[in-house]
Amino acid sequence: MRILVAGGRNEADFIIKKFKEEKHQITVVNQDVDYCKYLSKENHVIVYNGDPTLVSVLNEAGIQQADLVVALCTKDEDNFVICEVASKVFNIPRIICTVTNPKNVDVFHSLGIRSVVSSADFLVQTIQAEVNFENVVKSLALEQDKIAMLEIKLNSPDLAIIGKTLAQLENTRLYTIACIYRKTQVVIPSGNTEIKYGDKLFVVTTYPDKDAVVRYIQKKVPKEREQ
Amino acid sequence: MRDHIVIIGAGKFGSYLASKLSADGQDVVLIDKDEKSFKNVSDDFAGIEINDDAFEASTLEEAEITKASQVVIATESDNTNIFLASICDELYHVKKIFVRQSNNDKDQLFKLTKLNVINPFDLSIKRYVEITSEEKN
Repeated sequence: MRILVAGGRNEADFIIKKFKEEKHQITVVNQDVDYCKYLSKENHVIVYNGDPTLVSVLNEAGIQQADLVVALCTKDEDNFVICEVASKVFNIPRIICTVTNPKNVDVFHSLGIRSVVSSADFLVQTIQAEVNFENVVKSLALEQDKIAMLEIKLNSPDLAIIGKTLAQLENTRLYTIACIYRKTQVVIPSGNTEIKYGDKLFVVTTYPDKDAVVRYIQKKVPKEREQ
Repeated sequence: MRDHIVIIGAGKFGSYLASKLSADGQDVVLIDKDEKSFKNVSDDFAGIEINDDAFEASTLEEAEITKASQVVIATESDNTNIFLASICDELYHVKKIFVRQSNNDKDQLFKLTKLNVINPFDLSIKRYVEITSEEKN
């Protein structure tokens, strides 16, 4: 696919590298001379130095041939203009843009621009996911970070582990469920203890394996494929 | 009946136009995010000055944009003007929108819209051609 990346700095860098890995043909239009010099050295992409909101610059950069335009300028009005020019003047089929002000996601949608990404919104989602994760899993490192003690709350009914007995669990050489806190009772489990929704598991594992163990315990039952 | 006119951008053009329309008895609201811009406005300007960012919905709502019979958009950036014009058109359905264009680069884009474009460069050329052709006749 031929992709034109207009504006941006760090995010442009990252996206360009990703696109290159996927063998897309990249053209970059950026106003910053030093950044253009750096990019042309680093990434072997076609680089045009100029204001990416100008029709003449985009035209010279060969925007007509692009299958996708990505607008990454810091000013939302600049990205709006790039979207308008790309879609209305050059009939580019696919356009993605970022906005700095999260309120502009809705504004851009109302103005007919469909693919709008707000980095602030992404940040909020990521933080929320992290915060939720922190609440569910607590970990304690012992013996200079060699042993990890995890406290994992099974707060979702669709976890694959629910309903199994300890003897039915997989990967048990990586961890031991030392204790289960169920309602207000402490259960020291044996092989035929069944794991239930709402349990809080106390798991002992090695520190390097702890993320894999958390992933296994939090794995959900695969959804049936739609026919 | 007095027209409610919103002007965005208190540069020389916006400020002078606001002063003139106000002197003509129109109900004028002038918006600029830079407080210093308002120094260009005449002392007897009877309209409202709003020192805030027109990209914020609250600013346009304070200016009672939905009551406006026309909006004149004349900030120093063409990109800002285009974005604001789209907002006034699509979101607030202002009937008559004037936009000042300073760079001819986006002629093609402006031609695709129903905006009333005021381009000082084009006006100068047009006037030159008019005068020279009058002299020939």
